[in-house]
Amino acid sequence: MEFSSDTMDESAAIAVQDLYKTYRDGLIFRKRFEALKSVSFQVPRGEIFGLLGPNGAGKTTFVKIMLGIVRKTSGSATMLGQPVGDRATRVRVGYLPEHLRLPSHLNALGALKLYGKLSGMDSREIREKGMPLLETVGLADRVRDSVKKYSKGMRQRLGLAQSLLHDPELLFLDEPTDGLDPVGRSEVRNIIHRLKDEGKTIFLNSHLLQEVEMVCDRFAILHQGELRSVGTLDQISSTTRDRSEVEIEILGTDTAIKAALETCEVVASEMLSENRVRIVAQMSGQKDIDACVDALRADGLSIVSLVHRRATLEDAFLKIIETETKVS
Amino acid sequence: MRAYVAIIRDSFQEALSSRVLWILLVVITLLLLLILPSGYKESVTVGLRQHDVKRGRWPEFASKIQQESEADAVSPSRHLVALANEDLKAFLKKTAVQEKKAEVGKDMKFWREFDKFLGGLNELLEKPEFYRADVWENVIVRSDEARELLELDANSLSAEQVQRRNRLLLEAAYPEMLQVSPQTAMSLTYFGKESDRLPFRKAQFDAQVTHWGELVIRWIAGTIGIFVAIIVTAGMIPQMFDAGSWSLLLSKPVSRSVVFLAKFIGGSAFMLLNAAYFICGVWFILGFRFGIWDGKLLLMLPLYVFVFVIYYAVSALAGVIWRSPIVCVIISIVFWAACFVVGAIHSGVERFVYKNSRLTSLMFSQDTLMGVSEVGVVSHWDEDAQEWKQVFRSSTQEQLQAMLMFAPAEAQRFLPIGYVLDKQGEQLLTVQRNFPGLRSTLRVGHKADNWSNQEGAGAPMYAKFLLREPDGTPLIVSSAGLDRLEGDPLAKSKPVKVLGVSLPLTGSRPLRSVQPGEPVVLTDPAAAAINEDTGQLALYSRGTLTVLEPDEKHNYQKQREIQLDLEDADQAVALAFGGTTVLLAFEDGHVSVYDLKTAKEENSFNPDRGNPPRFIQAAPGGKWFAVVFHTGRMWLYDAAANEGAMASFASQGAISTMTFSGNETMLVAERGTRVKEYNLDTRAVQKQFAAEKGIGEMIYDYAVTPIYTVFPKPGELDRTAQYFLTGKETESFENMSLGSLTVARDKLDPWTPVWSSLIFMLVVLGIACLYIERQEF
Repeated sequence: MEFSSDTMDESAAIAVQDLYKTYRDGLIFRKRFEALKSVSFQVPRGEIFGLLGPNGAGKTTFVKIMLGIVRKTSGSATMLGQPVGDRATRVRVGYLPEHLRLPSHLNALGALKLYGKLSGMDSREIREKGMPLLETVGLADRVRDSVKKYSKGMRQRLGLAQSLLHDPELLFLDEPTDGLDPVGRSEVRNIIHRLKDEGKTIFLNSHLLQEVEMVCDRFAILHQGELRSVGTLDQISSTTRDRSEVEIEILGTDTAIKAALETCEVVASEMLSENRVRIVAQMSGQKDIDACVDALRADGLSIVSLVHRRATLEDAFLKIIETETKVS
Repeated sequence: MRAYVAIIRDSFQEALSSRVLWILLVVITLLLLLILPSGYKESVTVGLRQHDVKRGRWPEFASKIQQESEADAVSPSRHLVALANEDLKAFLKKTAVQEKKAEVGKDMKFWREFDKFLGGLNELLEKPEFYRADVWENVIVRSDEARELLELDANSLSAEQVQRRNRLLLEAAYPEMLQVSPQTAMSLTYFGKESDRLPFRKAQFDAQVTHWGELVIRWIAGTIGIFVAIIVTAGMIPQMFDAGSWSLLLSKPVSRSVVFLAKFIGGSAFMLLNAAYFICGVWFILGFRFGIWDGKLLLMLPLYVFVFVIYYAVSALAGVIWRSPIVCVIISIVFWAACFVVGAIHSGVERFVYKNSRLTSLMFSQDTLMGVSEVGVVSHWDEDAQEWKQVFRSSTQEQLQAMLMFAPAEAQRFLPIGYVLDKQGEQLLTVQRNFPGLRSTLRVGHKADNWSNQEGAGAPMYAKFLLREPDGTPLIVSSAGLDRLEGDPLAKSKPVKVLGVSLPLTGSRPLRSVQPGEPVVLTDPAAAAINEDTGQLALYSRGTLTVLEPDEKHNYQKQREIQLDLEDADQAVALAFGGTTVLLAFEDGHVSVYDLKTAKEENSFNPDRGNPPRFIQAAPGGKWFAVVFHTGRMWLYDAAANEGAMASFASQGAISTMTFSGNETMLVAERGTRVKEYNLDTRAVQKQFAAEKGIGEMIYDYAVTPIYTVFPKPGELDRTAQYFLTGKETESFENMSLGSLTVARDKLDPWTPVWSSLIFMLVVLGIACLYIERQEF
C-alpha cells in the first residue's frame, strides 16, 4: 500500500507530495484555514482513482489545485508530468465540476462548441466528435433544445460530454452521477470503464461510496485535510480491521450451537427458524475457521452455508472517519 | 485566441437571447417610427416674417417708412405708403407720432396692432406694381439674384418671382433694418403638415436638424440607453463566477484575465446592438427624410458605447469583487453620481469664478494698465499693492454681471461695445447699451476721480464699435455712421422741449459726425479697426472692405473699397489694420492677409485647425499682428516676413486676450487675471502683473483641478460628440454664434475626457484582472 512517497513518479498521471493548502480570509485579521496538510500520493496512468472524504475534507480543493483554479501553498504537485497550473497541460485534461452550470441560452451543440473552442478545438473537430458524444451520453434526440429546458440529469450528461469532447488523457469527475437515474448511473459507469480501456486516467470525486467502489481501482480517503488512507479496497480494509468476519448458517438448536461455539468469538446471532440459526463470528485466520467447523461437526450440527464476509468501502471509510473523530 | 473569441461570441449570443434586448429593440423601433414621418420643404423666400427685421426693430422700421414717406422726393417709403391699405397707413402714422414722443415700442400698443403692419406689408410685397423703376433707381441693389430678376421682363415674371423680387428690393432699400434673406426658406413637415417658415438657410437648417438628431441620440442612446444597459448587463460578470461555470472555464487552457476581458467585451455587445440600431436608424431617417447623410453622426455609436464601457468597467470591477448584480448597479450609480459631482464642482468653479474673472480686454497707456473681465468688471492694476482693483462700477454693470451668470446669451447684447483709455492713461470711456431699451450712453471714468463711473452724453443708437484714433480720441462706429468724441463726454445739455415733448437731437452733444459724404452702411457681419500709425479706418461689411482716411477736418473720406471674394459672406469676422496690411480672421478659423497696395489677398492661414478667432490686433508700426482664438491659443503674424506661427508662449491654450504695449512688446492675459509682458523678438517675459493667489484660487488649483484631472469624465464626452459633429473645439452660448466673435465660447476640449476616461477604464479593468489573478475561487 502506498501512503506517502519520497520520490514522485514523473510518468504518473497525478503525483503530489507534501501538498499543503492554507486559505486566508479577512483583510486585516486574516483567519487561516488549512484545507490540505501534507498530502502525498500518486495516480498511475490508466487507473480509475477515487478520492473520498466527508464534507470539508479538502477533496474539491485538491481537484482545484490540480486544475490550476487554486494555488497550492507548499509541496509539489504534477499532472501528466507537468507542474500543476501549467496552462498547456489543461488541454489534455477534462473536468466535470460538481453543481455544473451551463449557459442557459445555448443548446447542447452550442455548449459543446463553446467548451470545445475553450479547449482549443476547431469547429470541424467539434462537429465530428460532438454528435457521437451526445449519442453516447443519451442526448442525441435533444441536441436542438435549449439547455434551460434540460433536467438536472440531462445537464449532467451534457457536462460529461463536454469533458470528453477534446479526448483528454486525464479526466476529473466531481460527482458525475449526481442527478442521474439508475440507468444513467449504469451508463456513466460503462463510459468510465470504456475510457479506462482506452487508457485514460479517471479521477473520481464522489460521496456515493458504492458507486465509487464499483468503478475505482484505488481510493484515497481525505479527512480534515489529511490523507488517511490510499490503496485498493483490500488494502484500505486491512488497515481498519485485523480479523475477518465469517457468516455461518447452522441447523440445530440455539443451545447446542452456543455450546459448540463456546471457544469462538460470536458477534451476532439470528434465529432464522426453529432449528436454523445464522451466526457471525470473528476469525483470525483459516485455523480459527477450521476449528469452528470441527467443533460444530463434532456436536453433530449441520452447516448449511459458510460465507467469508467481504469488507466494503463504506465499512472501511466509516471506520477511518469514526476512529479519527474519536481520536480528535 | 480562438477560445477568447468563443467567449465574446457567447456573450453576444447571451445578449441576443435576452428578453430585455428584444423589448428595447421594439421600443427603439417605435421611437424611430415616431420620427420617420418628419421631413422638410424648401420654398422660395417671399413675404416678411417677424424675425426678418434685425433685433426686433419693427417700431423703428415703421417710423422710418412713415418719416421718409413724408419727404417730397420719390423714395421707396413714399411708394410703399402710397400703395398701402388704409389700416397700414393709419398704423404708420400712429407709430411715427409715438416715435416723436420717444414712446414707440415701450409698451404693448405697437405690438397689439403689429399684425396690421406685417399683413399690410406682405400684401404690398405681392403686388406687381411694387416695383417702379423711378422709385427704386437710387437704391443700391447688391444681390445678384435681385439684379437678375430686375433684368427680366416684369410681365414675364411668375407670381412667386414677383414676390421674391419685391422682397429683395425691400431688403436693398432698408439694409440696416432687414435681414438678408436666403433664396429659399425651409419649413418642417410632419405627416405632410407644414410648419411656419424657419429662419434658416438650407445649410443652417441641416446643421439644426443634425443638432437635433444629435440631441435625440444623446438623450436616448447616451443617457437612457446607457442606464438601461448598465442595469441589464449588471448580472453578466457576477454570473460568470457561479461555481459550476467559473471552475469549468478555469479548467480550460485559458487565461482568467483574458476570459474576464472577453466576457466584458461580450457584455458591451448589449449596448452596441441597441445603440447601433437606434443611431443607424436616426442616421437613415436624417438621410432619407432630410437629405443629410452626415457620416459624423455615426461616430456617436463608438462614442456612446465607450461611455457605457466606462460605467460597465466599474460595474464589472464591483462584480468581480462582490459578485452581486445589485451591488454592481449601486456602485455604477454611485460612480455616475461621483463623476457628476466632481464635474459639476469643477465646471461651476470654472464658470462662475475662473471664467468670469478672466480678462478679455486689456488697455495700456503710460503707466496705467486696465483690464475688463468676461462679465464686464473693469479692474485697474495697482502697482503698489500688486493686485487688481475693481473700478468703474455702476448699477447697470452690476445688473449685467448677475445676468451674465444666469443668462449669458441674453446678456451679451447689453455688454459695453468696447473701452478706450486715452493716451495719457487718465480717462476711460465706454459706450454702454442700457437695458431694457437699446439706447446707448457714454460712460466715463477718470484716474483723478479713482475711475468712478459717470454717465455721459447719449451715444448713437446702434453703436457697434468703439475705436481709438492714434491721438487717443474715441471714435464710435455705428451701423449708420461715424461719430468722434470732440468735447467733454460728460457734457450733457437738456434737449429742447416743446409742450413737454423732448425734441430729438436738439441737445448739444460732444460727439461729431465724421462720416464721409457717401455714407458707409455697415451690414452684419461687420468689423472695424483703426491703423495706429496712419489713422486710416478699415470697415468690413458683409464681404466688402472699405478703407477711409481722415481729411484735414478729421472727417473720414472713403479711400478705397474692395469686394472680397468670399465663399461665405455670412461669417462673423474680426479685423486688424497695421501698415498697409489688413488681417481678417473669419469664424471658420481662416485668416486672410490683404495688402492695400495691391488690394489682393496676399496670404491665407488656418492657424488653429478651423477654430474661431476671438480677438485680433495690430501692433503699432504694423509689423506684428496677433490673433487670439477661442481655444485660448494665440497666433502671431509677422507682416514683414509674411509668415505666421503659433506664439511660443508657455501659456498657449490659456490666453484670454492681449494688447500691444509697443512696437515689439505685447501684454498677454493668461490663466484668468495674470498678465505678462512679452518681448516679441526674444519671446522673453519682461514684466508680470499678477496678484497672489487667493484661497478660492488655491482650492481650485490644488484641490479641485487635480481631482478633476484624475477623475474620468464620461459626462463630458458629449463635448467630444459635438466636436465630431462640428469639427470645432469651441461652442458658443446655446449653440448660437450671435454673429459676434468676441462673445465667449466654451472651450470643448474634446480629447481630455476621452483620454482621462480611457486611462481610468484601463486602470479599473487592470485592477479587476489583478484581483481575478490573485483571487482563489
